[in-house]
Amino acid sequence: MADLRINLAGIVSPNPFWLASAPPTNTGYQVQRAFEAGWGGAVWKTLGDPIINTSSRFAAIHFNGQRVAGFNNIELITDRPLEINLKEIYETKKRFPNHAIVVSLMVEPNREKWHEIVKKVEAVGVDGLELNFGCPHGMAERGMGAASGQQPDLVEVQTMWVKEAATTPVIVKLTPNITDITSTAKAAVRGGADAISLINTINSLAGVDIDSWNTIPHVGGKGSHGGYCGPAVKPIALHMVADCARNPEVGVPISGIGGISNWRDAVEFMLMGATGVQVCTAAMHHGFRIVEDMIDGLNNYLDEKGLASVTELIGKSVPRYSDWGNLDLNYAVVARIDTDTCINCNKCHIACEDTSHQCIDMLTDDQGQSYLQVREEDCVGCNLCAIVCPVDGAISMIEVSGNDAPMTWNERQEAIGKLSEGEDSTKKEAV
Amino acid sequence: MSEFAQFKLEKQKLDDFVAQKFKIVGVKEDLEGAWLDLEHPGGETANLHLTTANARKYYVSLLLKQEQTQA
Repeated sequence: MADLRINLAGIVSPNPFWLASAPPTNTGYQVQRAFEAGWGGAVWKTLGDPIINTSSRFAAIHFNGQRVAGFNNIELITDRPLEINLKEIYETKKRFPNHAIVVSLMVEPNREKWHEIVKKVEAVGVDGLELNFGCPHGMAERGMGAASGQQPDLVEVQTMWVKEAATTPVIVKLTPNITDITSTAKAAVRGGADAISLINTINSLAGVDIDSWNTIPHVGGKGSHGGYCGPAVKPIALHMVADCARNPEVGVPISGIGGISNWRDAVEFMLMGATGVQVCTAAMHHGFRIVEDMIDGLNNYLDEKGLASVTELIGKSVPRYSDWGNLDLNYAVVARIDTDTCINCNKCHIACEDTSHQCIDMLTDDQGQSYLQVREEDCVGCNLCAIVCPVDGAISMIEVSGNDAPMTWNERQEAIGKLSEGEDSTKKEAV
Repeated sequence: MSEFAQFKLEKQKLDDFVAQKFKIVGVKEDLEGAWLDLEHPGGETANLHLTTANARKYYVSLLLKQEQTQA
């Protein structure tokens, strides 16, 4: 059995599965229940000046039979007094000294306000702080959350203020509602962040009821934008984590967040540079006990891979993630259809004929049976046929060796540029 | 004509030039594709217009080989 312990910027936890700052970590009762179930850590729901929430807060996107493919909320930070939260944090830490308790914080961009809350929270024995610069709704309109997190200078200076007072590791939680998340990640690092966590939720409107014409959710007939999360956002989150992980100017540990629903998702985030992961929607959908499967699955995976520690996964796929301009233009795959497995539904043919490169032929054999065949010379290896195919294994993408050496777009442009050196019109862009 | 058939035609033309010892000495790429200037060691020159993506990829592979040979 592998060692699942992680150490994120000095915050140690028995496994990489933490609950994210959100409704599941609202109270001591919940966090203690989560630790009993097996979660390695929890980021306490954001503390700050207590707010008042609306009734009707969540909405979900169900897609083709999959419930909660995406999840939307308009809930804000804690609505409970600081003292009550601190008492429960103290009690929880006392009961679970080996579990990680990180507390999410959000106050207005004011040095004294940050100092005050940091000192109060650290006094009850937390393992770390997470600065919420990501909440996209309600708090942003008051100049906090994503409103701060979208401005690198505010991220930097507020991180600096927190670091002036903090004695525990400081994690800066980033908003995805920005063009380039590395700009705020770098700002956090400049401010002294010990780690970053990402992503917070994405601006969203879950839907509109086409009968009542109300937004989903609505509060007495009115709605506002919320934060989107759940499995649907995983690819966006994974990209942002990877972008931070491969940027040498970031260079601090990452706590990965965004649609992580099972151990496989966690492995993907860790391979892409996360030291640990935070989970919310999956726990809200299925309850705290999903962590049992996560731990078992991760353990089995590590054993199968012959890895002694989960930390051996961290960042292993980062070197494989680059810019488009560094991809080999001479690498080629083509689709091959296994006619024994194919059910002749023709979805691949239609997809290829209508929306790709018209290279799957419908043919008839000697016995008069129809079959599908790829004209490999015309196949560009787009994967669409394999994606739409309903039968596992019926279409495989096969690597075909070419005669030409690897050549990236950037190398191509450099070669053309060299040929035309001295001519003004020959500047070639690299990407 | 399929994209591949068109590529084969363009590739054949380029391979023919290379077989005759022509070298790529200049290129201009624009909205219509790549316009190659070729030159034979004997001084003869030629032009070739390549339109397909694979041909525009292929000629640079040749160009890289040409550079390696010259180096």
